[in-house]
Amino acid sequence: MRFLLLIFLSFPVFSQQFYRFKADVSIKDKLSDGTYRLTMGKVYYDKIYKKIVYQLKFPRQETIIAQDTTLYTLNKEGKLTATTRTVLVPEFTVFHLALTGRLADYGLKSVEEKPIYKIGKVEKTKTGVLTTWEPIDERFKKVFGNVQMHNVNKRLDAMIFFDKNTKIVSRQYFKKYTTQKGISFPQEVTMISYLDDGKENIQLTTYKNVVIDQTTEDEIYRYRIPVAKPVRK
Amino acid sequence: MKKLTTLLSVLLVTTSLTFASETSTEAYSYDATSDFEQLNQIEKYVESSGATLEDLQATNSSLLKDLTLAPDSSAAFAVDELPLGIPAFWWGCVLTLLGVILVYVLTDKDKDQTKKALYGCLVTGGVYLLYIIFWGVVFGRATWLI
Repeated sequence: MRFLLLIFLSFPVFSQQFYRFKADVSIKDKLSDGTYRLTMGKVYYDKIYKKIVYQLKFPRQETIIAQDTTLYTLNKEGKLTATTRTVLVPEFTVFHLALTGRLADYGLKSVEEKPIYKIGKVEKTKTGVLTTWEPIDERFKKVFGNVQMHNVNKRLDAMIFFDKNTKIVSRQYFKKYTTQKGISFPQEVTMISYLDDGKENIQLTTYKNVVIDQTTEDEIYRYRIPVAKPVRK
Repeated sequence: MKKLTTLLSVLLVTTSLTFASETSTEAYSYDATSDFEQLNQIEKYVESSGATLEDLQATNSSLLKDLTLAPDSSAAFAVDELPLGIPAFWWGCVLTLLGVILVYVLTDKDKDQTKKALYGCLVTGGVYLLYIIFWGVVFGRATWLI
């Protein structure tokens, strides 16, 4: 009996691995030049393929795929119409961080790779905890500024990004959390970016009908980008 | 007794320091409702009708009144500048060859930016070389003295 117990206890404990995220998404932008932008559709993300697929219905029906720092735009017929560069890194999207359980610290407490930030100061606020992250060494301090992170009930609530001159460059807010299959996810993400001229861009992203680990619609999660010259829209 | 008093004093001081700075939470919330009133109305209409921007423009919809709506959604994801607005030189200086490659890729093979990143990489390489020479001289002399 003791022998059997020893065998069972010696097995490693596997935490559940989540790998797919899908939701209805709406992105509203208010730009510094007075224009607005509304983008509506569905977003699909697969952690293994590291591909973000947006199937949009507004402003027009099209598919946008972010993969390997490139953005591919396809028209409603599935023909490639444009490719552009992007800094959308799948590992630092809210989808990936939520699936891997690292959203609470925005992935700053990296375990596998060499970290860029370390915890500098921790303070209590009226509703939660405020952590100031600092670049880990002098090399990074020449490039990156501090990051302030506000957590409420162990969930990421807000972030403020500073440049190396302690000027605020961006604020992000994560609100209205929903829980699906044990994954907590913010249904409202607001980002305010401050420009050099003092103006600001505001982006509000809302997620509805969040689905974790969907087993259907494989062809969308692994969307095969057509190999062809871009055509006119 | 004296040790216990000292220990309690230390605990009280550290506890009070932890809770000393209560920061206002106003900085950690933002209500964007007023920024997007008109977009919210368009959103509701699109959800019920499935209309595109072209449909709204074709019918001269009042939803678009006094509103300049950008037609291109991919611009919401694409970026012209380097990440975090960091100059190319520092990408090369901090991340050396990886930084140069990243700049090359992210700026769509912009020769000017890539050159700046390469200078940054060379500066770091030069600093490391001087560092190695310095310690080589120091240890070389030390072993000679031994």
